[in-house]
Parts: sequence; structure tokens; C-alpha cells
Amino acid sequence: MDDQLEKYRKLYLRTTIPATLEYEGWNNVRTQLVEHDLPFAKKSYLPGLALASIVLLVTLTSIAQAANPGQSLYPVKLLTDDLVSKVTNKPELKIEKRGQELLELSHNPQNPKLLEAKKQYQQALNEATIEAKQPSQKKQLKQTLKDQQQKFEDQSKSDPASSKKLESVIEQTRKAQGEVQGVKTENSDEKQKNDDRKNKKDENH
Amino acid sequence: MDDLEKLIIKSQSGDNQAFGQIYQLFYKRIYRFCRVHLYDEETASDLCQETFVKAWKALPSFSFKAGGSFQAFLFRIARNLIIDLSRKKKVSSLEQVEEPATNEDLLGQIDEKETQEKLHQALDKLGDKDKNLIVLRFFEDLSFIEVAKAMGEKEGALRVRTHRALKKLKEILQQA
Repeated sequence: MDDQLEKYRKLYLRTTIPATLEYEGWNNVRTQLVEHDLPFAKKSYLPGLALASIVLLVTLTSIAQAANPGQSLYPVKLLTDDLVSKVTNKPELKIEKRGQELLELSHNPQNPKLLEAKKQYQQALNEATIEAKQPSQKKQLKQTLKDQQQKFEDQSKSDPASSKKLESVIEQTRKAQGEVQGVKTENSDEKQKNDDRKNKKDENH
Repeated sequence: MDDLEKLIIKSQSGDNQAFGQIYQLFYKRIYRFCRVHLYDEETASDLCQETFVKAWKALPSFSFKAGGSFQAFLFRIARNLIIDLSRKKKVSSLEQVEEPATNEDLLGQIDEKETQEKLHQALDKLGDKDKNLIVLRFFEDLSFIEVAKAMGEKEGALRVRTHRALKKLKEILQQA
């Protein structure tokens, strides 16, 4: 069978190929290929385009990290911080970032960007308080607020020029701590006042 | 990376000339495959060309990395086109057979042509699947894996089928 099969194989291979198929056939095929050029062209640069976009985005967000309130890339920084805090499930990250900006800007109390920075800090406090729903998140947020308050107070002491500007944010941070605990801020103030009165009474006795 | 792989990569990037070289490498084989199914030279030529047009469109989906065989890729396209055509019209092999020339100088060629037609008819009697199997495996020299890819079948099943197809072909040829 092998010999016979080989015989038929050679016969098959001797099938006459039309002479026109070599050049005319290719020309016919080629004219039909032109229509499909564009899809290939698009696809060939798509990976490069995607990579370039990623590189651009990473570069932009990196540069934006150095931006301060009032600068053109500051909204990019805010958006990035918001995304990171959502993805990592850490609402307190925004407070740390806004707090750091405030500390840096408060060295110069006349800085016009300080007002914007305080506004963004307050917004971060509001958002973080809402977003921290789980007990672990609330605990972490409370710790961050406590640390942030301490940083503001330390700066006020070391740089009296900034203390007036930081007074309001210290108060806001303290209020936010109360809200995270689930206790109303008025009540916590009342309690503090009552505790102070009681301590004074005890001292008098 | 061998030459064919380089040509394919260039073609995938839209290089017509590279694809032209691929056409030159494979058109004869694709034509023979079409011809053994169709008996009509003109239709076989058209189908051969259409195979390459479709291959160009489908090139982005082809990859050597996934163990792809380019010849299996082409034969699969050709096979599908033949199936589509056979659904559209029944081509009678007897009616389409060309009349051999009567010039005495061509006796040798006549004899060969008649034998080729006998082979075509014998293959025809096998049925499409077995015919494809014999042609791709034994005439076009594809491996079993490549034949499986070209036919969209499992390799194991094809190996078993091959023995039966060869046996059947032998019987048919002996009767002819």
C-alpha cells in the first residue's frame, strides 16, 4: 500500500497548476487586501498607544503629587488621593494628605492658598467620616485624627505665627473625632464642661 | 524565528509584500487541495485566491506561540470554503471532467490526466472527511496534529480513521 500510496501522492503532486495563478492570482488577491490595511494599521499601533497612555498617566499623577491648592494639577492630585483611599479602603489617607498640605502652607500664614487648603481639609474630614463605616475603619480614622490634631498642635507651639490659622482646623479635627465615636459634638463639649466643673469641685473639697 | 514566522509577523503588521511571499510559498498546495475537491480548474483557482484573502483577514488571530501551524491554518480556511461552496451548489464530478486532448503527442499526458481523474474519483468515493484526511496527511504531508487542526477534529480519532480510510481507498483503487 505504501508504494501505491506514494505513486498516487506523486500523481497528486503533478496536478497542473494554472499559469495565471502565480501572478494574476496574486494581483487579484492583493487588490482585495488593500481594503483590510487599515484594521492592521490600527491594531499595530494600539499596544504602543496604550503603553504611552499608561506612561503619561503615571507621569502626570506623579508630578501632580507635588501640586498645592490653586495649582493646575491639584485636582489631579485630589482625584488620585480619592481613588487610592477607595481602592485601599482607607478613608483616613485623604486626611493625612490634606493635613500635610496645611502644615506646609501654614508656615506662611499670608499664603493665599491656605484658605483653599483648609477648605479641602474640611472636605476630607467630612468624606472620611462618612466613608468609615466598619469598626476597624472607624478605629483607624480616629487614630489618624488624633495624630493629625497632635501635629497641628505641635506646629502651633513651635511656630506661633501659624497657631491662629491652625486653631480652626484643630477644632474641626477634634469635632470629627467626636463624630467618628458616634457621639454628638455638642454632647461631648457638655460632658467636657461637666467634667471640668466636677474636677474643680473635687479640688475645692 | 524562521523566515515564514518573520513573513507572518510582517503580514500581521499590514505588509502586503510579505503576504505576497507567503502566497508564493503556499498557493500551489492550496490550489491542488481545492482542485482535488472541485474538478473545475476555474473554481479551484477562485477558491485558492479566496483562501488567501480570508487568511489575510484572519491573520491577527493566528499565532505560532499557541502551537499554531500556518499550513493547517490555510488548509482549514480552504476546507471551509469548499464546504460552503458545496452547500451552495452540487458540482457533478462527471459533468465537470475536462475532455482530454486527442493529439497523439500528448498521449503520455492524457494517460496521466486520466489516472489523476481516476484518483480524484476514488478519493471522492471516500467521502469528504476521509478524502481530506488522505490528501492532507499523505499527499500534503501534514502531521496528525496539523490535520486535526485543519479539520477541526481530535487527533486521536483521526489516527483511527486514517487506517480505515486507507483500507477503503485501496479497495476502491483495486476495483478501478
